[in-house]
Amino acid sequence: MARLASHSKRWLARALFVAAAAAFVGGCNEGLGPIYEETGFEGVIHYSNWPPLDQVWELRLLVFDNVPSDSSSLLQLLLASVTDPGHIVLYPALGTPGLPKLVDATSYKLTTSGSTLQVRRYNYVVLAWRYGPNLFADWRPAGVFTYNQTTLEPAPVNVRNRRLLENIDIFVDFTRLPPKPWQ
Amino acid sequence: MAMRPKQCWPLLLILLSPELLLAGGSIAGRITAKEDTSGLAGATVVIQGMARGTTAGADGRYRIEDVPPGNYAVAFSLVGYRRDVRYGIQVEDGKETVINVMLTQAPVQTEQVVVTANKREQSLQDVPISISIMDATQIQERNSLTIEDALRYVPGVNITGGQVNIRGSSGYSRGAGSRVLMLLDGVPFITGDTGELNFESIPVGQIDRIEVLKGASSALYGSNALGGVINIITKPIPETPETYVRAYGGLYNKPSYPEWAWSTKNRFYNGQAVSHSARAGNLGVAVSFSRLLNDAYRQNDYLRRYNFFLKMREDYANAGALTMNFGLLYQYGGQFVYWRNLDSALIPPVLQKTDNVKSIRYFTSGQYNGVISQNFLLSTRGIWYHNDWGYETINAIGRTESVSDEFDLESTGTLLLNDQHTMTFGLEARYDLVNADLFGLHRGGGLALYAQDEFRISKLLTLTAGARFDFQSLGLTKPSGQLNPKAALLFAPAAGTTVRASFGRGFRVPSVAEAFTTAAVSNLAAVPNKDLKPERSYSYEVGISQTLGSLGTFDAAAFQSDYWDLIEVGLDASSGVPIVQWRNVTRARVQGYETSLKLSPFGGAVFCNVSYTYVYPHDLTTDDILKYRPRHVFYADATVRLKPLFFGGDYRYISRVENIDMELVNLGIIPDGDQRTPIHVVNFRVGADVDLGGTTLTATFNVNNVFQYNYVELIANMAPPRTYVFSLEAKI
Repeated sequence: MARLASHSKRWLARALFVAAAAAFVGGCNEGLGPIYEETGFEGVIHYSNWPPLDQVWELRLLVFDNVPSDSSSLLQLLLASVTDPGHIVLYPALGTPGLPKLVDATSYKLTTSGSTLQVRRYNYVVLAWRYGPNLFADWRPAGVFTYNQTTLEPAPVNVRNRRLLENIDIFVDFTRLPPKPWQ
Repeated sequence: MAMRPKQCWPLLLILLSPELLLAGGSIAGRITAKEDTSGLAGATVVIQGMARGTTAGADGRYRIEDVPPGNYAVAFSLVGYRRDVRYGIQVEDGKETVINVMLTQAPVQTEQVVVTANKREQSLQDVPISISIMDATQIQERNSLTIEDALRYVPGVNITGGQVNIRGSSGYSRGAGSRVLMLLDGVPFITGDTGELNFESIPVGQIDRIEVLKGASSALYGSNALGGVINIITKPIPETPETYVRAYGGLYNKPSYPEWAWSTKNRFYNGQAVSHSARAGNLGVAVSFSRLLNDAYRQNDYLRRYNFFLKMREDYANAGALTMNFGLLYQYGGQFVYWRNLDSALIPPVLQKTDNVKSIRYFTSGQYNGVISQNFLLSTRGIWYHNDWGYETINAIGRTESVSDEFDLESTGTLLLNDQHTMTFGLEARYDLVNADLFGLHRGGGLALYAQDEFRISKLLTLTAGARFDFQSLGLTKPSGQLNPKAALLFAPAAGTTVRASFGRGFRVPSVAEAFTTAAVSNLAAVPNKDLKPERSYSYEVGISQTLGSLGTFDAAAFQSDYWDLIEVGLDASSGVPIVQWRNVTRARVQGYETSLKLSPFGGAVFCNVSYTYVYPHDLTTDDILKYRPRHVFYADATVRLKPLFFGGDYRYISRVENIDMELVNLGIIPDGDQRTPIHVVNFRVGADVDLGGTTLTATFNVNNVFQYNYVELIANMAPPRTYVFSLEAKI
């Protein structure tokens, strides 16, 4: 019993030492604090198998709150987003040059302060590719944000207040394009 | 003129004639402390194998009369002292056998008496399930304002938003329903409408000890005891008149970040309590009044609370006793549901800045313990618990009210058949009336029958087996019945060593709030679910307890609980407006282990507790971790007593909760609600006990959350910063 008591004293001393060390280490960390982050998301668009340059007229990132399922043209959808901002976000904004062409990868950052992005769930983040001269008709998706590169099923992005979500990456293979949900 | 006992008590609870004339000899003597030979008032004397016992008077003297001739073992015990059992005590007809006993102080209660495990007094070592005890000294030294504050240091227990989680059985149910049953002196103390635990109705200063029984206990306690039982035992009325006065004040430290500051004033809280107890013949009365005024460290979280508590006890000649409690609570305050965001963590959203809650709750409970014969003890207890609360928000016109009345009546018999069998059986009836803006008008209740046998197979092995049948209607559209069996083995291979194994089935009927809530609070709407079914569980446990000489005890246990139809709050936003509804959604399994060590080396001058609980709370339906259940819980505390000084500290570690209500975050309802960390909280305390000629004065200074660690236990609810508390109390 004396050995047991001696052993328990040693055990207690160790346990209290571990507790004191953990308390000190834990205490030095102040825990939660204010967040100084922007609201939005960012990522990298990776490209492969570029088509000839004359088929790459324009590249823009389009962010939809819902996957377009009707037969509207992309232009109609974009016009609708003007009257009800936040449902569809265009990056870079209209009137500015599109994303760089013929590069291996390009990074992007979409925030509520720099666009019409809102705090909500966006179910369809797509790279739109204009392959011809018709500004109103020659668009199709080149890549989507997805967790499954085989099925290319769109994955949602939850935009949260003062959170800059990272790694919203899109992999574009011009020889293997995702389905086109608009006309 | 002295009142005759039968004039001054209501007869409602006296179902049986208490007195039976008995013949034989008597056992008498004096119980003293070994250290200073002073009489130990309140020490318990029990003749083993019989339903006979008494408590020592003011000078430590006791007397048990009408003991049949024979050879007996008599046990002497008192909280804070080592239990002493005397064997071979001869009692002869018409003679008095004198046994004087000196008890030795033992801060670590290796032989502590508990009452919750089997609805009767037992030594902790004889209990085949895990049970933890927190006594008044630990509550007092920590300056705990509420019972849930005190429970934060019980092994295997953690608190989320005021709700108790024992070994991962509960998450956070938004104030509706509890998987832990609360008892007040053995009487169910659950509100009729929400089915939650209202700890604030019990003044902390009136608590003698809290027993926490872990694991499904529905086989004795019925619904709600799915995850365990918390029995709050109030202080006994002392033999000599006693007046107790306590005053305390606390100051919240400034917030850690300037962004969080919302008031230029210091935030304080203070409280006062006064109580007096006295005896006149066989009648004892204790009355207390207390109040708490809290400015709060968060905006619109202020609180004003007033408690009145009355306890009366009348002792009868042959160890029968009638005890009655009455409690009244009035409180009002702001309501802080969640923060505006983490940059404004101590401020609620704009629309909640004027929300407030007001409650009036009162209860009256009674218990009669009677000795029917030498081997049959009957206990009858009942309660009427009235609960009236309401809240006001900027969105609603007027106050939203809920009024409920709960009536519970139970009779328990303990029959000592022989040296081998102790039978416990009983009948419980419950009736609830609910009239609430939120839940509607409901009447319902339940009826239950239970029985168990503790079979002492040999000196080393005891088997306990029993079952309880409950028929319930409240909270259900279709009333239903449920049979809950249990079995437990206790093996004591050597002195101080016990090995235990137990199995029990549990169930919980949904509360009225879970089944019938119809409300719109802030930007959420709640809808009823009339198809809600009772939750069911099977719990298993194996454990070992080892006394370490006079140093203390070590306990280890492994446990598993399987749940069916677990009720969780679901959030559905498909219709545009987020809808909250309680649903039977989950098949779950909670596994884990728990170790605890209690030591008091250096002759009791140092007192330490260390405990660690690991829980794996697996949602088998979604293959995810159950919400609001931390995996690792580690508590350590130490107190050093160098009379008249004492000082000590606590450390509490709770691992980061893995799963919370992310729907509320993803829908943008609670900004930054996903922000949480592991919890590290350190408290220090120092104090002194001074004896001023009959008046004991105790001064205590506490610093809680010494390192000002910022954490949440509940989604978007910042815990208190560093707090300085000074308290002064006098016992006259």
